[in-house]
Amino acid sequence: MRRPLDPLLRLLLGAAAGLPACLAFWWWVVREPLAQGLAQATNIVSPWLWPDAILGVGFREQRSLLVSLLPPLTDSAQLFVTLPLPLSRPTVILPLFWGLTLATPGRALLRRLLFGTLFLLPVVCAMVLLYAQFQIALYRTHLPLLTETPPIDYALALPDSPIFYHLWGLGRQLAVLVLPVVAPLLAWLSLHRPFLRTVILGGLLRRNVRAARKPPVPPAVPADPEAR
Amino acid sequence: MIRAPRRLALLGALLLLGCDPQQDQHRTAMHQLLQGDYRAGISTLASLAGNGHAPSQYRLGMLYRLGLGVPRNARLANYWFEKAARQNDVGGQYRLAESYRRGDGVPESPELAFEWFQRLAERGYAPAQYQIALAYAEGQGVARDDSAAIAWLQRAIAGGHPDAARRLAQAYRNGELGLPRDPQQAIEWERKTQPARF
Repeated sequence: MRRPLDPLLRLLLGAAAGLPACLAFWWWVVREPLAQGLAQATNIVSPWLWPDAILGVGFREQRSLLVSLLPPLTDSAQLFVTLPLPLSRPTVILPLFWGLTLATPGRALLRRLLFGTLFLLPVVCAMVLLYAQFQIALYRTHLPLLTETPPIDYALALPDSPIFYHLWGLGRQLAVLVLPVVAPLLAWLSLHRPFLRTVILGGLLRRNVRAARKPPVPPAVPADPEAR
Repeated sequence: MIRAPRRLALLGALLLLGCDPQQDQHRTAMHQLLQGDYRAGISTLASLAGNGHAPSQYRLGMLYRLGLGVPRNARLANYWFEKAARQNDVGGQYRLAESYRRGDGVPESPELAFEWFQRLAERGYAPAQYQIALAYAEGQGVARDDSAAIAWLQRAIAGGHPDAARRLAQAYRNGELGLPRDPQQAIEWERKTQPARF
């Protein structure tokens, strides 16, 4: 009789197969529509969040850009400055979550996928908004911060106060470094608590108990040289 | 517990809180300009500018200055820049000062240029601080003052202005602005003009 596969091993094998598949699905199927949706969402909220700083989000040569309302200093026919706003990067948390969920054994797979996606969509929007806010601050303040350098052109606007500027820098770090890793993991963990309890934590506990029950190895008796 | 009508009223109040009719019209005008509909955009901007909306006054001035959708008219451009500048609009103040410095559409006046640049420089705007430093260094519109020039250059550098760092480096290299000739300091300041590498 074949022994059933260890659930933890099943999870790892499933993730190894599911994550690339989900990333491919995201890249070729859902990335573009999601970026379009995010652009629409940003356009809807920008009059409230940045009434005097952002006109909207547009696409040029498949790159998403923020169109700034803050006039540039350069005396040219250029009335608008565009700032980079990557809309695909934040959505990568969705395939990461999908891959982990598909790899996790259990019932109601569709429901878990749906709930997790619904939980992550606002996070994706928050990541976009935090990054957009940082781009505006960078353009307005014109000082390099973190790994970002300001656009060549100065904005005809007063710079942000240092505290706020660094705060927006923290927001950018949250959007670019922290949330892409933490958000899909948190969503997965919160939707698979029984699996986490029984398989991962339970497995670890069992392993510790087994290790504790092992009889102590008797100390080696030194060989009697006279017995020979 | 908040009931449904109250929730709706609360939501409506929150939405209205973010609404400024002039700002909305300004955004509409800018959308029209972005799409190349200069006629409609200028008409909306002119109406807003007439009602005292400073960003619209600046934009209208800029359209006259560049001759976009309207015949180029430096005098009208400066008229709108001054209206915006008097409302503390950064663009209006900078452009008006620039016009006085160059004598573009207004009689050349280094003193007035200095005055407007100084207002903006004191509010922390680095390009205006750089212009003030140049005015002190060259005695344009103000008595020549080397130490003031250096102080304003340093403020502009702190605001991320690479030309200010370049000017200070030049001063150290050539022993200008009362500074001793110091090639090492010149290299240090020159380095600040390079974009940050990570």
